[in-house]
Amino acid sequence: MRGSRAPSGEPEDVELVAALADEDIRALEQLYDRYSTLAYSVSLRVLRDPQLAEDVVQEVFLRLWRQPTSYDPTRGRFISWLMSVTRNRSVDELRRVSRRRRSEQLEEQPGHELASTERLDDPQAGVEIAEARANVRAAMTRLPPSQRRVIELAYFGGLTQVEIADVTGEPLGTVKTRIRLGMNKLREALGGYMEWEGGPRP
Amino acid sequence: MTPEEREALLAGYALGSLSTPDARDAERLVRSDPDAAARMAEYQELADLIALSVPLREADPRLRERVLAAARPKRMWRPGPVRRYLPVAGMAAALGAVTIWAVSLQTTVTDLQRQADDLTAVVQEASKRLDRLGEAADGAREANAIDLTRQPPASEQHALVAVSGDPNVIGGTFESTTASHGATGEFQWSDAAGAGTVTVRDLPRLPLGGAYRVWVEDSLSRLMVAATFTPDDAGRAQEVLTVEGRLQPERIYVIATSRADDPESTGPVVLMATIDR
Repeated sequence: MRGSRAPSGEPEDVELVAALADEDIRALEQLYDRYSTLAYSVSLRVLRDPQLAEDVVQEVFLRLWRQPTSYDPTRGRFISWLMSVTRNRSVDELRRVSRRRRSEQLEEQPGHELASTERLDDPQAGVEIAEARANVRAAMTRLPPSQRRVIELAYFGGLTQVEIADVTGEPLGTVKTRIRLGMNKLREALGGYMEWEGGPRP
Repeated sequence: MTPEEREALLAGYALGSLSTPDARDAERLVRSDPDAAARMAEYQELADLIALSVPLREADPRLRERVLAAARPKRMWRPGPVRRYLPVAGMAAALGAVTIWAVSLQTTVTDLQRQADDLTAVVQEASKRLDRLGEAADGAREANAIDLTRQPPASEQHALVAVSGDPNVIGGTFESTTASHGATGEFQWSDAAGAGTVTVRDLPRLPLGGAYRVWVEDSLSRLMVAATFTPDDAGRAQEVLTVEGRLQPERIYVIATSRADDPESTGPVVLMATIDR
């Protein structure tokens, strides 16, 4: 899936990012149309605040526009980079807003389900991404709930293992074990989608 | 360290869930052990995939227009050589500070003309207030109450001179957020001085006891308060940004807080900017 193949006839992500260096606003439009829904969904999942999530998405895309070289194609897929940047910025924002508020929200909404407002995949996001999403979601669903929960608290909640132990009431050692077991199960389930070829990560 | 502990350390690092000491242990492990580095890469790839599990939600369609409007054209510039003025000996200290502030932001770049105009108006207003203060019996006490006529501390004056004299000063325009409500502004940052300035206007009016706070953030997401201020009645303010230590900020945020007296209080981001180096 390297290079995040675009819908038929459309330029690939790496070509669009390269075009940003030439101030091609159409390239930004295409990248935005392709990934903004996913980026917004990730940010919203973390922040639980539509306005804050929109601000993060705006910042992420404008930063890409101004510094397209911040994405290095040799280090992995564009979509992975974009999701990583979006998630990290969202967690930063979450920590700024309030640790207490975050914990309260996480406890109020166990499992973080947003199914009531979920919509179908955007066809513009590409069949390949939709397929990857389906597989990742299936793999996450198949995890034991206790393992899925600690992984989600870490990834989407931005909590440290110590904080997760505090929130869940589980011993720290149990939290670490669940994260390890859960990540290994995900690795087994999603091996076909992992293509990391080694080397340093950002 | 057992193999299980090692796996837990690497998996926890990839998820960003380790405490600082544990994260350092993980980084040391990755640097010293190629197998650990490869494993870490796998875990990080997994972490990236987890993002794909979110149910999709659509953003407000107006966000697209905001992003594209802000992107067109690229708003990145570096001002040319900045004219440097030294304070004239004997000039009243307060007026001198205001004057340094004004001329430090005058450049030959036409893009800054609006900023210069605004500064001129603010300085004129400040000068009038200074005149009034000079006639006031309790001038000293009142001076402390009027933000625009206050004399910046010596450290701020030094920072202003250093910023204005830095030929590599980085400047930019703040981006709006959903909380901006028409507020705009510009910033300057000098890596050499470890200081900067912000000029903002049309900031939303704050409730009693509120204030605006300027946060700077570096690449490691370390945040530091660089200034706290209350704008004038027109929502304008000019502030000197100073940070302790050797923090090299990548982003600047102007945040509204309802509790000026609480340095930990936070609120909506009203303006934000990226320092493009």
